[in-house]
Amino acid sequence: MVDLLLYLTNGIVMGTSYALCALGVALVVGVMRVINFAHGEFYVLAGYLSATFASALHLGIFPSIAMSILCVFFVGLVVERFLIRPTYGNEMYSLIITFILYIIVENLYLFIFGPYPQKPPNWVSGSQNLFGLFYYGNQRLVSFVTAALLISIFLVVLHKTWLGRVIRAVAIDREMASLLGVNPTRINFFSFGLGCVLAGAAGIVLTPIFPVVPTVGVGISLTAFVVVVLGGMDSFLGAVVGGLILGIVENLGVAYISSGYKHLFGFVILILVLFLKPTGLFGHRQFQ
Amino acid sequence: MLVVHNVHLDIGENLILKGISLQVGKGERIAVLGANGAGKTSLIKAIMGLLPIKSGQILFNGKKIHSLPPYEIAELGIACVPEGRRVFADMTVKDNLLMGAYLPHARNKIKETIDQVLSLFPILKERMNQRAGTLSGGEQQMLAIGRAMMSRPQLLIIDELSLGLAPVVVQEIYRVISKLSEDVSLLIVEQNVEIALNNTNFAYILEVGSVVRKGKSSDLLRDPSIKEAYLGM
Ligand SMILES: Nc1ncnc2c1ncn2[C@@H]1O[C@H](COP(=O)(O)OP(=O)(O)O)[C@@H](O)[C@H]1O
Ligand SMILES: [Mg+2]
Repeated sequence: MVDLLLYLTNGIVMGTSYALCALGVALVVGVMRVINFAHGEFYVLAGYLSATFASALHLGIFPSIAMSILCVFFVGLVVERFLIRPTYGNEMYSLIITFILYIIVENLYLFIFGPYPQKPPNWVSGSQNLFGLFYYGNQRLVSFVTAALLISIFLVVLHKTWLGRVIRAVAIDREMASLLGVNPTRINFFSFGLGCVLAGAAGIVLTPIFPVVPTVGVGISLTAFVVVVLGGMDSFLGAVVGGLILGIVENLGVAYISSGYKHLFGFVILILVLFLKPTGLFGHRQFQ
Repeated sequence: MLVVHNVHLDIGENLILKGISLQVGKGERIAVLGANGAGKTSLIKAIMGLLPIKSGQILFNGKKIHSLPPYEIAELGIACVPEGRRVFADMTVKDNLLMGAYLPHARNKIKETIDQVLSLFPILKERMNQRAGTLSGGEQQMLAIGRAMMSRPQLLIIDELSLGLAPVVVQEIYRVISKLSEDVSLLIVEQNVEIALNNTNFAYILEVGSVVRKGKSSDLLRDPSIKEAYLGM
């Protein structure tokens, strides 16, 4: 019973970060119909940068984080402008381009940062007694709260601000939005940058707990894709719920079945859900 | 105000518009009529910058607009209710209306405009926080018109105003439109010839990509050949 509670807690903590990362995919897919195979590389970038800024430049933890996020946003904008924009209208090209980008960037990480795990400093130390049952790392708790807070902020921006309203409108019907005066190319540009920032934010909250190596990006991307398909491609709420479900299922599966199949559990749930509801849990549209 | 001059438009191999000319003056109410496939929607798409034209000119207030993207054409003061209404189904009625006021000159006057729009279509006031996709067809058309009005346009274009709507609803929408200020010119595309002629000053009739008749709406309404061809009398 105590074990179950611990695994559930782990699942929720992990799942919240999955959700944060997956919101970035949902945003880019929703607005641009682009699947960014290099999504997880922005997670890795944020992890490495925040570690490097803190250790090499001796910046404090929070200035390092802020600078990393800014860099991730900027790199995302550059990628959109020079790699994605030329592929507009052809989803196959953007898929291939971002796949190539993923390969190149992964090798760049290996070349620049080396094969050994790196880790930004913890924000907090020590642990808490949770429910009077087990001790739980404070960094994990703080990472969880931060991810949850960022998700809430994102959802509020999406539903209560002009920016969010315009993003939703373009995602639903880009041609109609352009008839109302919206320049869809500009929204693409910004949304892609923001999508990368969401992956980067997940990297910021998770890499103090799980140190980053050059190859983790692709797993992060796949997890985010699974979450988005699970929740429904056109639903931001779906990405949040999907992330939590995946986090919990993975952690329970690892604990009670076998740690060798960690990624398999997600796929099994995904196939089950798609079998019962092809649009995903919260989706309306089915993507071809 | 709007001048369409000798516009040709192809889609692939098909000649869709074959030298169309028409004009909308300030405060005028113009109808574009014609059967399914005549090219009405293509004409609207060309005006709004959604389809490139092959030759000819489209001018708005003397400015060439036929090579501008849709969002710049919108900024010049043309609003459009496209065929099929295209409300943002997953967004609330309120967010749909606000999206209509996206352009800066409209955003400054949102409170004023939204009150005007809601007094034209009071039903929308009761639906403000409902998802637009849950509205009836008539309410969606009102919302689409309201959303277009939120941009405070000089020219409002409505494609297939009455398509798929119950006659009472169509009557109601035309009644509201007739109350719109003289500051807004109207270009209405219709297959429902009688109601369109009854509510406009001037009309163009399209057949397979060409204007085959034009004239004062009241004259066309009395014309025996029109009666026979389009009104089934
Ligand atoms: N995307 C397209 N590809 C090829 N032909 C098209 C396309 N869209 C419209 N058409 C053709 O253009 C003609 C005019 O269509 P449209 O402008 O929609 O007419 P209307 O609005 O008067 O019904 C029709 O013959 C239609 O088949
Ligand atoms: Mg049409």
